[in-house]
Amino acid sequence: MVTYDANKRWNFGVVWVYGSGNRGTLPNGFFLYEGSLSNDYGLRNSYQFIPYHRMDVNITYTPDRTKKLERRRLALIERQKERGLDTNNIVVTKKWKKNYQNSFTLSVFNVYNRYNPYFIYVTREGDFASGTLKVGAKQVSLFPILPSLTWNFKF
Amino acid sequence: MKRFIYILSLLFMSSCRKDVQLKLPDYTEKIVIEGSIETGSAAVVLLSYSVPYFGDFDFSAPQTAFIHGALVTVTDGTRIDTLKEADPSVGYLYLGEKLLGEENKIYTINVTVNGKTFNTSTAILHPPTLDTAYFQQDHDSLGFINQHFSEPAGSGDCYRWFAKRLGRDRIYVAPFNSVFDDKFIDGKSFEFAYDRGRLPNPNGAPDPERGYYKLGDTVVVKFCRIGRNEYDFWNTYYQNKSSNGNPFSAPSNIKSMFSDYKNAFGAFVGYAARFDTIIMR
Repeated sequence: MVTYDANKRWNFGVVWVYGSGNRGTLPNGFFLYEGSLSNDYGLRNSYQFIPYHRMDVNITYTPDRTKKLERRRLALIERQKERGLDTNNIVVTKKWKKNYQNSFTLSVFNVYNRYNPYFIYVTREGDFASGTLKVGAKQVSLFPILPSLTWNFKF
Repeated sequence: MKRFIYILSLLFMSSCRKDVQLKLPDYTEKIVIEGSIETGSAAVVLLSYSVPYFGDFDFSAPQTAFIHGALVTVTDGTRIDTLKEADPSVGYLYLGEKLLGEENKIYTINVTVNGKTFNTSTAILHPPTLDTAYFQQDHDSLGFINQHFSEPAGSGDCYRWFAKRLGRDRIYVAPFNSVFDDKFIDGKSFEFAYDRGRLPNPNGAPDPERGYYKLGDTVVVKFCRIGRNEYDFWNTYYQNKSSNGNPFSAPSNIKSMFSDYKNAFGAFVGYAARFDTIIMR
């Protein structure tokens, strides 16, 4: 995992996760019994899935709150001047917002869209006795590339 | 912006399931033995090889999985019956002639394939008797067969159930989980029901009565007592079937009746049946 604070407003992060493939039990063969096909499984956990890996990235933008408060103070002084009022003792009312902070995070899960296996199963289509059987294997993966936008705030 | 929408659409439409090529451990084909002997009938044995999923087996020539030229004998201890291939050009089906099954006798099968011999024994046990059997309508004109059974006292009994619709089924068909033992029902009277077993359906044509019997059917129920090893085989067979194609179920291999289970598996089962005829009304 790497994070980098470019400045007070911008933060970057990268996570790379790697794990050797899980182990599972898959049928190695099949057989005909009572007119239908059944699986013949190999040794328990004799099959190793492909390795699991993915990369997640995120960019966080934190607006500069002091600049915003300063802009508000200047705007208030301007209004006071227009009304002909004293501008020496201007105080920007903070109220509940005095501790308010927020940031925006754009993150992308599994940025290179790797299809990590969740489970694998074998398929049989057609009829064995008539010579039309086709076998195959399918892999089901859970999460492809997933972008997300987050608004964080605290007060 | 349009490009972004296209990319986003592609992401949403991309499938989470894809075809993969598996590198499974090397598979050694096994000899599959499906044998039975019934009272009044000679032994019937089906011999085939198991087939690797991703090996070099040619699925367009399924007959290469059938074993022909095997030496199959069945003996009751005094007489020996050498089974003959029904069609020597195909193999697979071996039929006895001389030795007919008798109740309370033990039969041993010897199967010799490629110089290796595999054997096991089975007993034909006295058949159980159902108290009653009747049609249990489920919906419309379809339903199940319900029966009342008084299980004899003394643990260790195992049973198998078949049924055949007269004029509609070629053979007696065992439904899924057609075996049970008396572990929890020893000496008790109880009711149990079975749906209709499925015959192989190579055409894949939909069956609107699938799993059901229909009003007007005449059904013959065949109820048998089997041995413990035979029960273990069928019980694990159905466990194996239930895990077929289900990635969330625990994979289960079949408990073979043959001792050399690494090279041969299957069962040789003796049946003495009690038959009951039910008219669905």
